[in-house]
Amino acid sequence: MYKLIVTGRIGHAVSQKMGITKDFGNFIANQRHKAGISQSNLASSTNISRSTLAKIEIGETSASLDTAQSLLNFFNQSFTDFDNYLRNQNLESKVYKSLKSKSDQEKILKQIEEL
Amino acid sequence: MQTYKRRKIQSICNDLWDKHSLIPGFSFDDLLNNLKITYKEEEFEDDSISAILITKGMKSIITANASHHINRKRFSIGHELGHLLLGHKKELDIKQKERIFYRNEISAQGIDTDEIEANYFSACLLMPEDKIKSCIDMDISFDENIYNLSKLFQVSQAAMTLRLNNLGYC
Repeated sequence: MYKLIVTGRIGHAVSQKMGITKDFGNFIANQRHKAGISQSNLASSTNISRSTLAKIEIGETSASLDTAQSLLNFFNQSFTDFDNYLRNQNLESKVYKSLKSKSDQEKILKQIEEL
Repeated sequence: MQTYKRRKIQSICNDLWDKHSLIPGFSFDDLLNNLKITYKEEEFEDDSISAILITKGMKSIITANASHHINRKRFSIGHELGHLLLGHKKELDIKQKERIFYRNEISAQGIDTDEIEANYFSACLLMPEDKIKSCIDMDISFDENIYNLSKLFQVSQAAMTLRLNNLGYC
């Protein structure tokens, strides 16, 4: 999955099918919320239009490799960090599916975070 | 399970015993520490959970149900360690009571091989054949042997009975 991201435009038909575009959008939106900055601020800092950023965040459009790199750089993140995020997402969804008790889910999610 | 797979599992377990100087009833703390596997215990709300294995990249954590008997915990840890060392591609494995029934149901059809192998691994690690053989006392009854050996190897009497049966002792 990592190879696919670095070699092609995020949002190619294949990656869209795999849901990477949406995941990348979520990842950037999460980073932005954590940093507490607006879409306008992020857009102007990375030289992309606010409307494009909005579409990237909701997975409606793809980010070119350069744009993806600019966005990641802004948050001091790398493609490897995004890859780890995808792995965590996958693990988290498995935890939700496998464990019925909410407190058990929280305990295991905490361990995943600490690992 | 195929014979070559059994032998492979036995060989991995024997290597662990030699390399880590294990003794009957060994503690998992040092072994997991040497293997760089984090071990934790949690009080789970769902008591059917025996143990959980989480693997993230090269890091792994095994979490056992703190409220379970030490012998049950040991078998569950061995089971999860089996998944890890046998290269089963599991990012998350949850050993649950329900799954034991499920596993038994389908083991007869030989479908869920990973689960069967992990159980066999745990049995071989906790109760290696040669160590069991050398500790069996032919002058006492089968039941007395079960009692003594289960105490020595820190496993349940049920696990020891099954192991001895599988090794041809009745």
